[in-house]
This record gives sequence, structure tokens and C-alpha cells, in this order.
Amino acid sequence: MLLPGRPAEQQQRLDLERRALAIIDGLPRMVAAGRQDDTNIHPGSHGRRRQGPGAEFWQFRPAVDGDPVRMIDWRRSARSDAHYVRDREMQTTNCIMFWADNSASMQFSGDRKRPAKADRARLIALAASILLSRADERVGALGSDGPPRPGAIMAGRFIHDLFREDPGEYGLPPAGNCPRGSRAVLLSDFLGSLEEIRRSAGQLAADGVAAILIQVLDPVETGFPFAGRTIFRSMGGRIEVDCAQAAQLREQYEERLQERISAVAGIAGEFGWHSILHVTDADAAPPLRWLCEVLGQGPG
Amino acid sequence: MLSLGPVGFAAPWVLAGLLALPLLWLLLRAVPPPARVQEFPPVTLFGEFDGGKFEIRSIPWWLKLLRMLGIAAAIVGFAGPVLITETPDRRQSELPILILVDGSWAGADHWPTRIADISAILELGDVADTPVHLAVATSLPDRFSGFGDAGDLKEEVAALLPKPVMPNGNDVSDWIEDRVEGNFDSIWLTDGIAYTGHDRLMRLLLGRGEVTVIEPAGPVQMLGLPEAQAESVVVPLRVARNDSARIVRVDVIGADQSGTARMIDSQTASLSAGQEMSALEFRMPAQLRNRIERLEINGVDSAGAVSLVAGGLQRSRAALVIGRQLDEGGILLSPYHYLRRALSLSSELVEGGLEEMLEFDPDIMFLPDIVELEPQQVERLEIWVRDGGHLVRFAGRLLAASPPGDDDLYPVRLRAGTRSMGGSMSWEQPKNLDRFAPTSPFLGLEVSPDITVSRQILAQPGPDLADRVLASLEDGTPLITGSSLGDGLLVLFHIPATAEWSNLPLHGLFPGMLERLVLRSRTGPVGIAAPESDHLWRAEQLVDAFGRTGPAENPQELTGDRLASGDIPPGIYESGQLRMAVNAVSDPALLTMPSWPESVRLRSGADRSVTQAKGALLALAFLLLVADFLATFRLGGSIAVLAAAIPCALAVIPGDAAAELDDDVAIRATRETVLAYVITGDQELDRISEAGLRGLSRVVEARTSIELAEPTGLESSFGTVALYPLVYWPVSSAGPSLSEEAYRKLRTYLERGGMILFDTRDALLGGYSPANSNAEKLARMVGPLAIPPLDIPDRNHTISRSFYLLDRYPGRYQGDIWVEQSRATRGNRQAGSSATDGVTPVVIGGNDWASAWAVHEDGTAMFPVGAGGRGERQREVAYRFGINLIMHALSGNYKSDQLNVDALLKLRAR
Repeated sequence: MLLPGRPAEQQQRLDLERRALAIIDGLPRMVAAGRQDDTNIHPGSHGRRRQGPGAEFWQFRPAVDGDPVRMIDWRRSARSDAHYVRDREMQTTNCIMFWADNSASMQFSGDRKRPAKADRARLIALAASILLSRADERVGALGSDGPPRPGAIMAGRFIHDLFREDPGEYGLPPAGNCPRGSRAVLLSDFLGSLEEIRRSAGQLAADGVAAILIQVLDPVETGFPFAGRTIFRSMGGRIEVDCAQAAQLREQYEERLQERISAVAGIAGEFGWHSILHVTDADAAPPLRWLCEVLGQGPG
Repeated sequence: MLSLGPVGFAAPWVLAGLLALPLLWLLLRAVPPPARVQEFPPVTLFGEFDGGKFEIRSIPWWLKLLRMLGIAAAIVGFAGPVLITETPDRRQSELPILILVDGSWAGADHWPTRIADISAILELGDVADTPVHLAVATSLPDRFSGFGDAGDLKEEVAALLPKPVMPNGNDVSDWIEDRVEGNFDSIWLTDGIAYTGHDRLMRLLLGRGEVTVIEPAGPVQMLGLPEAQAESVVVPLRVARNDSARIVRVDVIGADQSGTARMIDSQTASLSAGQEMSALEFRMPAQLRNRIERLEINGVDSAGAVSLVAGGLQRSRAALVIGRQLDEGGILLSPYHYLRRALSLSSELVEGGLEEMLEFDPDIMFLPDIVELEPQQVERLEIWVRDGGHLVRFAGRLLAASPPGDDDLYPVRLRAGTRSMGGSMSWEQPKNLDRFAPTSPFLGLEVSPDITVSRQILAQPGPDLADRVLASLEDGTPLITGSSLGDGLLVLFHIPATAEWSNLPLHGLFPGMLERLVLRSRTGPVGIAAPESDHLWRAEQLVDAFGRTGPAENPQELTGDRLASGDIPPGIYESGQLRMAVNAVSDPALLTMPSWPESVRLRSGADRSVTQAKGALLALAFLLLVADFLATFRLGGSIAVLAAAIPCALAVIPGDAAAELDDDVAIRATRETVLAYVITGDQELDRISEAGLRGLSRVVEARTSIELAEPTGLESSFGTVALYPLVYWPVSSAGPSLSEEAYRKLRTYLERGGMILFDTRDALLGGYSPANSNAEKLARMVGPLAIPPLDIPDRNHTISRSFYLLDRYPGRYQGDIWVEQSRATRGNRQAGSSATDGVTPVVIGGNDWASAWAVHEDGTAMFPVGAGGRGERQREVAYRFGINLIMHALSGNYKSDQLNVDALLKLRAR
């Protein structure tokens, strides 16, 4: 696949795609189950219970003037005097928009061997998008220039959008190109201002978007393994806190973090959305499975 | 040793560390944030905590002061301070004082302390009030200016300099007798070596008044004349008045291939206390030995510690005596030809008639058979041999026709006529050479069965014949004989030096044998071999008292007698082609220490009561730093204290801990082959350079088996230049100027086989005129690189055929390129450049290659070249030039072997 960008970035993107595919390969049963039972994860086309373009039979109706001759279903027409036309059920695809936060705070990793939070967020987004594309869903990136589209054509563009740089300290989902009635998957650490998060979420909800929040955190952020004199600094360096005895902070910090997690869950609940916490030392597959499940349940 | 008033320092340079203290002050201000800085996105959550927990502290001023004091104490301590307190001893008399300073090379090493001694003497209360005169024995003025005020002498003292010679005591005595009237007391600052007229001077001074002798503080270290042995160079050294065990390092310095002086070898001798004499043996191949220019004792600033060689250790001087020229026959029939070819490898060869050669006084003389000698010539020759000359003669028709008498300078008695083997009239087969006997000088050379002898002169059998055979045939008949005569040696080859009687002169063994003979002829000390008195000598280089060599200014012409007297400043003297070294010390063992009469008050310069303050200061520094450590620990309360201690430790330990190479860069550059370009600082230019090398790398990878990684930029410090086989250097008038360190790196890089492509990018339109700024910049830049002579490559240059066959080397422009001049053009004048083996270290041109090679990421060309198809063709040739260049850099002159294929094939076909 030819992607724009410098070789190093290309490599990074190909690598991400490779890993995403590997995760999907690790979920054979789920995918199979999805295909057998549409209600389970609801991939692909969704009947709209009315006449329209689609593959499934909907009804026969008498032909009227203007119906092209080739539309006439001769087998049905032969059984009676009138000519009948075979209507098909209108089928549309779901549109799922992804947003993987790529702001400074998401570049954090507590351990050199562990990928950054942003990387994990991208991985989940891409894996999910590939799964959905395979089922002919329309997939897009929030904040992207183009409209969401189905199929593999979109993948390159999509990956490019996942790597779009965000200069901010903490990210917020971009507003704009989310089609009405679509669903959004927001992957972020949600550590920025709670007010702004709530406002962005409200905006999305006002646009008629049903979102799913996946809060991605590093184990260091949940565990707080610090002691001694430490200067804590945000990734962009804009906020700095000098702490004389970090160990004494732990309990208080854990309390605050739990508050934040439940606050994020609270926002989701407010709009009837789903939310989940994902810590990057865990496997990427469970949240993916959960995501598919939630998407399968339909909006709301 | 540096003295500041009453405080001296053993290692004053360490004091430079004090300059770093202000820097440390800044560093210390930053410490302790030994606090760990932790990047932590959820820091926003902290904002909601009560702020009391987070206090920001800074280092208290008293801690800073404590640290600074500690470090300062350590620096001063390491500088080895000594406290000097004079012990004043009152003089009895009221006479004026003559301060006599030897001022020879022997005192040069301790000169600063000598100056300090004199200053101290002048400041002593009793001297300060007395009229004083200061005289330096090596540079006495014409007039005696009288005794004056001690205070006026201070400036004079500071300007005193020693001379690289020994004073002559008789001259000094005469000077005093003629010019100084009345009695006076003397303070004699001796250099600790007795010179001519020393005793007379002593007596004279004692006759005029009280004498105080102040001996130098340390020993006098001297290096004698190196002596050439068969396979090594031996140099004697002496540490006069050696009072402690010491290790003396002697460096051998000579010119490298580019002609710059550098250390060839170095050895140390360890002397126990009281041991004065030692000798060092340097084993080195003849090639290296030829380059030796001087030997010196490391760290001793004295002319006596320097031994100039001036070619004395170089190749032997061989003379080839030319008799009548053979008109008939080709060059291959001439014995001179074979001797010339064989000898030019191992010696300095001169040719001429016998008289001329005798005057030249060679080490070894080669006398082919076709030279006819007259009786008086034989006589002179014999004198020369008895004086140590080596005479090598060859047999031939002439000798065969007239058997020589006993006086005729042959090592053995010879039979008339010759013995033929393997002719049409003989049953015998040509004989092979026998293996060399264990006593033979040729032992170790390999005897090839290819060598046959079909005719030879036979020796008369005799009792001493067997001892005189140096090489024989397999039937035991002598082929080469030799015997000593006086100090010299006579050698006879029983065959001529042509291929007529034997194919030995055609064989590689022949030069080998001659080399052995030549090497044997050149042993013994390098010295002044009684230069011809009628020659005029002129100093070319002079050594000052501190052992520094410099060019002689306004040299006088000296006669040979004067030169031999040893009374002239050391240096290298020239007379026509001859060069001779004059050294301050010829034989250190001959120098004696003065013995002082009882009546002399003797003091040593080292007598000054001296207190070593190093230990105390270091202990203080240690205590201060420990106190600091504890205080910091109390304040910081974590291991981060160690982080604070490290900069302090670094500041105290001198030495460069900085690693030169960035490992990642090095690993990348050595795991793959990487081309490099010099970063000029002009971003556009650097972008083109990178794109150009990228384009070239891709083409090279597509067409050859060379796999190149992405090109790398090279900072103008050139720290990592050694990692790259080829460096592209676009010359820009705005480009960086280089540090001395960078030049050193580049020189080494080029010497060790690196290659640089200089590109002025202007098609050399301005030629090399000053108007052309890029070319001028280039000229200025490469000046210190010691680049060999350049030339436009000829059709057969390897670069024109290392991959593609090329006859031009275009880039965006078409112009000439310049490479190292081939050795054929340059002739054998220069022995150097063999290290790079004909691979040019630099290619210089102005064709703007990078632009022609440059491609975008997607592989399309960045710049147009020429117009249409012809332009594309030119781009193609530019790529081909690049490939050839890389091949040349990587595979060297390998392709040039094939240049000779034609000749080799013809030879085979014959």
C-alpha cells in the first residue's frame, strides 16, 4: 500500500496495520459469530424496513408506467394477468467514526518497553475499523476531511488520519464531520478539563451521535509508583508540580483518579453512551471484543 | 615548576581548573533539583490537592560556598603547591657581588626555577643593599657595565635566556680579568656540569672574594648520539646527579608520509636512584629508520635532551664507480644497470669516477669489473677501506684475463681464467647456489633453485679460504668471498653484475644480498666524521637551549674545522648536498660534574626550605566535600544526592571523559555502507547534498552489488568521519571553517585511505583565481590537509574504469576533475603515498554532482541537467562517475591491475 509520508512514518503505519491485523486474527470465533448472527455484532447492511436499493427481497408490487421493462419479475407476472415488479428492501450501512486522541498526554508511556497510550488507542481504532470494513460498514476518522466510506480504499486514508498530529496538551474530540445518526468511538485518556470533555460530548450528542468512550491509561498512571522528591510535569511541560514526598500522595492520587474515571463514565451515562477503562499493560483484544459487542447492540 | 612568590606549583596547569569555578557556581545553583523530573499526564489531577505539600527549595548559600571552597582546595591541592621559605645566611664582607649564571643548555630544563633563584637572591636583604652585576657565562657582553643596584636588575633577570652551548671557562676568566677590577664576592649559579676552563674560573673567583655556588635543583638529563646497529638504533642517555628513581621516556621523531613530523617510536628506561647511565634500543625497519629526524627525552626542555640525526641514520651512502661507458650493447648488458636497480632500493646511491667517489666518502662502494684501476688509485682505495669502507667488487672478463696480485684488494687469491659449466664444450651443467652457511651475512635470504651459474672465477685454495666464503655453489666453489681489511671489508662476487655468467643479477635475491651488504656497511655512531675543512657549512636548523628546533636566521658560513670543534650551537648544518647534525651532547658519559673546593659555600637550588602543601589541601578539600555531602543528604534526603556529587567529581578529575563517537551513529555507519556529505549550514545546499547522495545510493544499489544505506550528514567537527568510505563536500563560500582538531581528524582520515569529493559547484568557471569565492574557499580550507600534488586523471586512471569506462566526469556541468598525481608522473621523488596505494585521497572538481544525482523521495530527478536526451545522457554519465568513484573508494586500485592485461597477454603469447 502506498501511503504518503516519510519512510519512517510509513514504516510506523505499516507496522500498526500489521499489528492490528494480528489482533483480529486472534479473534476468529468472535468474527465468525458475528457473521452467523447479525444481531450479535451487527456488521454490514441494516434493513431499513422499506423499499429501496438492497439485496434482500421486500415485496412484489404491480408495475406502473415508468417502470423499466427489465424490472418486471416475469415469474411472478406469469402467475397472474398483471405485471409485477420485485421491490427490494432498502439497505444502508452504519457509519462509525473513530477518534484516537494523539495529543501530547497520549504520548506518555511509563515504561520504555510499553507502547504509548496513543499507540494503543490507534491500534484499537484500526483493528476495529478493519473489522467493520470487512463487514462493509462505513468507517471514518473524526476530524477527517473526507466523508466516511466503506471498504479497504479507506484504510490508507484512515491510518493517515489516525496519525494526525495534535499539538495540544490534552485532546478533545474534534467536532464537524460526524454524520447524523452515526456512532463514534472516542479513545483518549480523558485527563483534560472535565468541563470541556463534557461540552464536547454534549456537542456530539446534540449532533445525534451515539458515542462509545474508551479511556486508555498507562499502568503508571493508575499505580502511581513514585516516592521521594519528584517534579511532575505534563507531557507538553506546561504544568509542573514539585512534590516533596511523592509516596505520601499515592492514596490521595488514586482517589482522584477513581473520581476521574467515574466522572468519564458519568458523562457517558449522561448521554446513554457506553464507556470502558483500558490500561495499556493489558491485552488489546478484550476492549476490542467489548467494542464489537457494544456496536452490535445498536445505538443507545 | 611555577613559582608565585613564596608558593610554587608542581603542576601549574591544573590551576586552570579554577577558571571553571564560576561555571560550577551556576551548576551548583541548579543543584539540588536532584529531584526526579517525571513526565506525568495526570498531573492535572494534582491541581486539586492542597498546595502545602509541594514546596520548592533552592540550595542555601552556605552550602554553595562550602562546595566551592572544597573544589577550589582540591584544584589547588592537585596543582602540587609548595611553600618556599628562603633561609637567609648573612654575608660577612662588604664587597660588591657578581652573579654568574652558566646559562647553558644544561640549566634550561630548570630555567624558571633558576630565574626564581636569581630573583630570590636579589631580594635577600644583604644583596639588595649591595652593588650587583649579573653576568651570563654563555653570553658575555663586550663591556663590563659595572656593579649596579640590585633593584634595576629585575627586568634583566626576567629576560634571561640560556644558550644551547656550554660556556668556555677560559673565555669567562679572560673577560673577568680584562674588565672587572677590584675584589668582589661571587654567587655562581652553576648548571652542574664542568666545562672547559672551569677550574681556572673557580680559582679566579676565589682569588677575588667569597664564592657561593648554587647548584640546580634537579638532575641534568642528556641524550647521546644514536648509534645505528644492523637492525636497531641504540641511543645512550644519562641523568647526571640522579637523586631518585625515575622513568625516562625517549621519543623518536621523524617525518611521516606527508612530511609532517610525528612520533615514530617511544621507549622508556627506568633508572634507580643514583644510576646515571642507560641506553635504549629501538628496533625498527629500515624504512622507518630512514625517516628519523631526531630523538628527544620526553618532558625535558633542554638542548642536551635532543639528539638530531640529520640523515645520519638514513640509508647508507653507496657509491657506484663508473668506469668507461659501454657504447655497444643495450642497457641490459651494462653492469651499472643491475647495480643501480638493486641499490636504489636500499641506499642513497651516487655514481661517478673513482676519485670523485672517494671524495664523497661513501659507506660502501661498488666496483664493477669493467673499471680499470691505476696503482695510485688502488692505494687510495686501500686507505679508504682500511678506514672502514666496504668495497664490493665484481668479477668479469677483465679479471679473468689478468689474475690479480696480492695487493690488488681482493678478499682471496684468484686463479687465472674462468670455469665454464654447461657450455657446448662442457659436460657440466650450470650449477645452483648452495644454501647460505650459518656465518654468512646472507643467512635468511631464500636461495631459489632458479639461480644458475655457468661461469665463474675460481679462488686459489688456501687455508683461510673457507672462512672467507660468504656464498658458494652447490659444489662448494666460492661464489662470493669477503675478508676484512683494517676497519673495512672487501667483498668479491665471482661473477659480473650482468646476466652473462649467471642469472643471479636478474633474480630478486640479488638486491636482497646487496641490501645486506649495504646494511652491514652502516653501523656505528652517528657523528661528526671530520668534515672536510675546505667546505663551508651553513646552519639550516638550529636548536635553542630548550631543545626547540627552528629555522636558522641569517646563518653564517662556518668552516669544517669550526664545525668539528663542537663550539657552535647545535642544529643541522648543510654544505652543498651534505647535511650534518651538531648536537649539544655527543657523548654524555664524557661530561663531568664539577668538584667544588672546600672554601666555596655550596647551596643547592633545591635547598630552599620547602613545605609540601598538597596533602593538607587535599585533606581539607575532602573534609569540606564530606561536610557538603552530609549537608546535602540532610536537605535532599534521597539518592539524588549522588547526582549532585557527580558534577563535582567530574570537575575535580582532569581528563576528557567525553566519548567522541555517538554509538548509534557509529553502529549504523559501520553495519552498512553509508555515504556522507559535509553539512555546510546552508540548508538548501545540505538538502541537495542529501538528495544527491540518496539518488546515487539508489543507482549504486540497483546496478552494483554494493548496498548503501541512506546517506548521512557530517558535522564540520568531523568526529565520525572515519566511519565513512566517501565524503561528499560541497564547497560553499559560507561554509564552516574548521578547527585544528577537525583538520587532524581529516588528515588521519585521508592518510588511512579515506576519500573526499570536493565540489565547488561552479564548473570551475573562475579557474582557481581569487575572484572565484568557492574555489578560494576550497584552497583556504584544504590548505592544512597536506594534500598531495594533483593532476587531471589520464585515460588510464583507475577512476576512469573502476566500473564503467569513462572519459569525462560530468555532473550538472562538464569540467575537469583533479585527483592525486600518479606516481609515474611524480617519479620516485617522494617515498610517501604508498599507504593509499595509488588511490587518490581527494577528488576535486566543480561539476555540481549532487544536483545531477539529486532525486526526490519518489525517485524523480530534482534538477534538470542539460537539455533533452543529451541532458539525460549527461545525468547518466554523472551517475556512472559516482559509481566509479564509490568503486574506487571501496576497491582501491584493484582495477588498475587490469591496465597491464595487454602487456601481460603479449608476454604470454611470445
